[in-house]
Amino acid sequence: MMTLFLSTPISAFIRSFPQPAKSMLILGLVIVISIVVMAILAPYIAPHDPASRVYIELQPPSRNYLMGTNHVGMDVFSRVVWGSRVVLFVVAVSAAISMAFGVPLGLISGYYGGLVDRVLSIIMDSIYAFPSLILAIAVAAVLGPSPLNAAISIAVIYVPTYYRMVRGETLKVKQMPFIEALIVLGCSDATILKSIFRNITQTVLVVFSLSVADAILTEAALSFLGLSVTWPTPDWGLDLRSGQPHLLNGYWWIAMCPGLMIIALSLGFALIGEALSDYFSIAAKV
Amino acid sequence: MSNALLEVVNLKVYFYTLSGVVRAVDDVSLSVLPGEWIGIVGESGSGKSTLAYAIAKIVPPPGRIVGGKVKFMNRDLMELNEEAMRGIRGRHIGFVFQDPLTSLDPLRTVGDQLAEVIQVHLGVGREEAIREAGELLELVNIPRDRLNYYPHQLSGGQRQRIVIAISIALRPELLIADEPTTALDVIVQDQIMDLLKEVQMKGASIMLITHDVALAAEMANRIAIMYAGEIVEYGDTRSIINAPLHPYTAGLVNSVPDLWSAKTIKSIPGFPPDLRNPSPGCRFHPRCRQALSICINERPPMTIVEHDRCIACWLYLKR
Amino acid sequence: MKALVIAKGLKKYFPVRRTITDVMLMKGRLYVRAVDGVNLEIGFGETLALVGESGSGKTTTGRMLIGLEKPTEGSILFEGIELTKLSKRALKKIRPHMQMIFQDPYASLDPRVKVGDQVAQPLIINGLCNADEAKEKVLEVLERVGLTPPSEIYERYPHQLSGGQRQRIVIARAMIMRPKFVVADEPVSMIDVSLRASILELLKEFKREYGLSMLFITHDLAVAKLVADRVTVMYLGKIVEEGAVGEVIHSPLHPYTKALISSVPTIGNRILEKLKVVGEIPNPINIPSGCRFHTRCPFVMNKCRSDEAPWINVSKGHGVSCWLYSTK
Repeated sequence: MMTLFLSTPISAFIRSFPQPAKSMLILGLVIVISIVVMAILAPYIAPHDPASRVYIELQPPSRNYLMGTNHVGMDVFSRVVWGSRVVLFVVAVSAAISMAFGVPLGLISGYYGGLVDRVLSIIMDSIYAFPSLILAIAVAAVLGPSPLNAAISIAVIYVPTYYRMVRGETLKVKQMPFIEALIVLGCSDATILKSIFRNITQTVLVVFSLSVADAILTEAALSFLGLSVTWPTPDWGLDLRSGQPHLLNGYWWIAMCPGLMIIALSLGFALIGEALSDYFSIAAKV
Repeated sequence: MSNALLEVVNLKVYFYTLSGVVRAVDDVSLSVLPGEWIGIVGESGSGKSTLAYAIAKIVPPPGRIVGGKVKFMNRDLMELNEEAMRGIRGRHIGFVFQDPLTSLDPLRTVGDQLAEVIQVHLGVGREEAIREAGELLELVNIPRDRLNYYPHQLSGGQRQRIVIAISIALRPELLIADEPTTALDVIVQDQIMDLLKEVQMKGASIMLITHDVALAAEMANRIAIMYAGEIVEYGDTRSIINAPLHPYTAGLVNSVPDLWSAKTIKSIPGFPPDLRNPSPGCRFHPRCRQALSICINERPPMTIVEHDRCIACWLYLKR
Repeated sequence: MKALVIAKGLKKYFPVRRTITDVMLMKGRLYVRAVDGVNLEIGFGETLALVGESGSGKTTTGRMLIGLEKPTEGSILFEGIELTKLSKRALKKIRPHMQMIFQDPYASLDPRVKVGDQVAQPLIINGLCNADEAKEKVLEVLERVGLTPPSEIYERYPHQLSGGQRQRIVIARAMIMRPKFVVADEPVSMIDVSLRASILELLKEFKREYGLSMLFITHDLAVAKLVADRVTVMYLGKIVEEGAVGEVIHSPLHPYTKALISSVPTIGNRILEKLKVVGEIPNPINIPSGCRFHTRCPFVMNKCRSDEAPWINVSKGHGVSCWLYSTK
C-alpha cells in the first residue's frame, strides 16, 4: 500500500515541498487523518458506550479505561473517540457553508467591481469588524443549541475571510494578460470567472486549512457554552466544561483529554495551512 | 598579465537546486585592466550576472563558488573571509543593479543613505559626510536639494543616478553595473551611460553586464561574449563586432536589429541548453551550423587567436 | 473607406485615488492624462508602429483600439463601425476580427490549461467548429508557427515551454481566427535577442498571408523599422511625429524623435549626430503647458511654453507637431 501511495501525484506533490514546510505538512496530515479515521471507525475503536455509566466515577486512567472515567462514571476515552464526530461534522459543514458563500461572492465582487463590490465589501467588513466569538455566540443563541446551528453560526464568521481573500486574488488575477486575452477572444463572463477560479484554488485551499484550524477552537467554545450538542452526547468542548469543576480537585483527565484533542486537531490544520501557504508563495515567486 | 586590476581564473559557480546541479558559470577566465570598460554580453541564463556576483563573492544560495580564483588588486579574494570581503565591497568594488528601487531603502532619504556610506567607510563626521553627499549628487547631475527626498519621490533615472552616486562614493577601482539601464528608456539610458563614462574617465574600471550587444559595442573597449555559462569569445570590441569569429557571436551580432544599416536580421535556430547536464563538448554545437564531429564530445579550450583576442571554438584551433 | 481603423480625438484619463486628507482639504480630483487627443489611421494590410517611452500612453492607446479600455473621449471606427458606441454584446461579435499579442509570454497564457486547448479556445468560444475540427486546426497552426511536433506541443503546459515558444503559442492563438486587425504590444521585448528575428519574421509572414493590419507597439525603433510601414511617435499622451518608417528614422523632424533615435545604441556606424536632451518624461498628472516637450527641448522658444504646437505636414505623409516647422 505504501508503494502504491508513493506513485500517486499526491505523494509527488508532498515530496516537492521544501523543508521545513514538508515536515509541517506531513505532521499536520498525520494528525488530521488519524482523527478523521478515528471518527469514522468510532464504533470499533471505542471500548464502551460513551453516553452511559460504565464504571465507578472519577477513576484515573487504567488499562480498561484508558483515559479514566468522568464524574458520572462514563468512559472518557470512548467519549473522546465519539466526540471527534461532532467536531468534524460541525467544522466540515461550516467550512462548506462559508465557502459556498464567500468564494462566489469574492469572485463576483473582484471581477465586476463597482457598486456590487462596494455593497458586498461593506457588508463583509461589518461582519468582520465584530469580535468573531461573540458574533458566533449571538447567532447560535438565536438559532438554539444544535450541531447544525453551531455550524451555521461558525460559517457566518468565516464567510468574510473567504470573501476577502478570494476578492483580493481575483483583483490580482483579473489583470493578468491571460485573462485579458480571454476578453479579447470574446469569452463570456462565465468562462472568464471559471478561469480566474482555477487560478485561485490554491488560495482557497490555504484559507480553508487556516480557517478550519480556527473554527475548531470556536466550535469548542460554542459547545463549552452549551450552544452545540446537549449532554450526554459526547463532545470535546462539552466534556471540557463538564471536567472543568473537577480539575482543581486533581481529576485532571476529564478535561485534559478532550482539551488536548482540540489543540491537536486545530494544530494539525494550522500546520497544513502554513505549509501550503509557504509552498504556494514560494511557487508564486518562482 | 600582472598589471590587471581583476583576474578571474577558471571560475566555477554551481547552483545546487532540487532538480539538479546548474552549472551557471563553468570555467570562466578573464581579466580587467585598470581604467578600461569591459562589457560582458550574454542572453538570459548565460551566467553573466552570476559571474558578477561571484567576483564580489555574493552569489545567492543555492549557488556556490566551487572552483577557480578571483585575483583583485593582487589579492586572491577566494582566500579572504567575509569580514575582509566587506572591506573590499563598496570600498574597492562598487555595484549598480538593474532595479534601483531594490538597492535603496524606501524609508530613508537619499541624503541619509549616501551620508551613511561615507561615514561608515571613511570615518568622517556627520556634517562632513552630508556635505560630501551633496557634492556626489551634483556629480551625478542631481540638484543638491534632493538630499531630503525619499526614493519614491524620484524618477527611475534619478534613482539609478543615486545608486551610482552611492556606489562611487568611496571611489572604487572597479564598478560592476549589472543591466543598469534595462528598466529605463533609451534617452535615460544614454544619460546614465554618459555618467558611467565620466566615472571611467576618473580612473575606475567599469564592468557592464548586459544583454544588449549594441550598448556594449558602443561603450566598452573590450567585450566578452557569454553563452550557457562559458565565455566563448573575448577581445577588442571593434574587432569582435566587425568580424566575429565564434559562430555564436556571429549569430548574435546578426540577430541584432540595427537602426542604421539595411541588413536583414536572422535568429539563431534552436534554444540554449539545459545547464543541469550540458553536453561534454561545445555547449553551442546543437545550434551551430558549422559544428564538427569533435564539437560533440570535446570542449574547445580558450585560445588566443590574435593579439588579446581569445576564442573557444574548434574551428579556429589547429589540431 | 480608406482605412481599417480610424481613431479620432482619442483620450483616456485615469482618475487618481484621493487620500482622506485630499478630500478633507477639498482638493479637486486629479487625472492621469495617459492619452490626450490621439488621431490615427491604420490602412488595410498596413503595419503602423507606435513608438514611445514608458509613460507615453502607447499601450493605453492600443488597449483602447482593441476594446480593453473604454476611451474617455473620442471615436474609433473599425471597418466603419463606431466601436465606442457598441453594446457589450455587439462588441463581442466584432472581437474575433481583432486580436492582441501581449508583451509577457509568461503571463499571457493560463498556467493551468494545456497550450493546445488555449489555442483552440477562440474557435470553440465563437462556435466556429466542434472539438475535433478545432484540434485539427490547432495542430495545423502550431506547425505553422514552428512548434514541432505539434501533437506533442499541444499537450504541454505553459511552464514546460521556453519564452520564445510561449510567444509562438500566443501568436498562434491570435492568428487562428484569421483576424483583420492585430495589436502587438511589445511582442519581442521579453524574448532573447537571438530569437527575436524569428518571432518578427513570423508576424510579418502572417501579415502578408492574411493581409491583416497591425498596430505594433514598441519602445525600440530598431524593431519598429523591421516590421512597420509607417511609424507614429508618442510623447506624454500625444503624437509628436508620424511618417513612413524610413523617412522618420533617417530624417526625423521633431526634437524628441531626434533625441529618441539618436539615443539608440548601434553596432554599426551612426548616421545621425547624437541629440542630447535633459531630464525624463514628466508625470502625466502635471502635463507641461504649451508643447509638452518644451521642458526638455534644446530648441525651445517662447511660443512653445504657452501654445500647443499645431500639426504640420512637412511632406506627403510626414507630419510633425512642432513650432520649429511652423511658417507662421
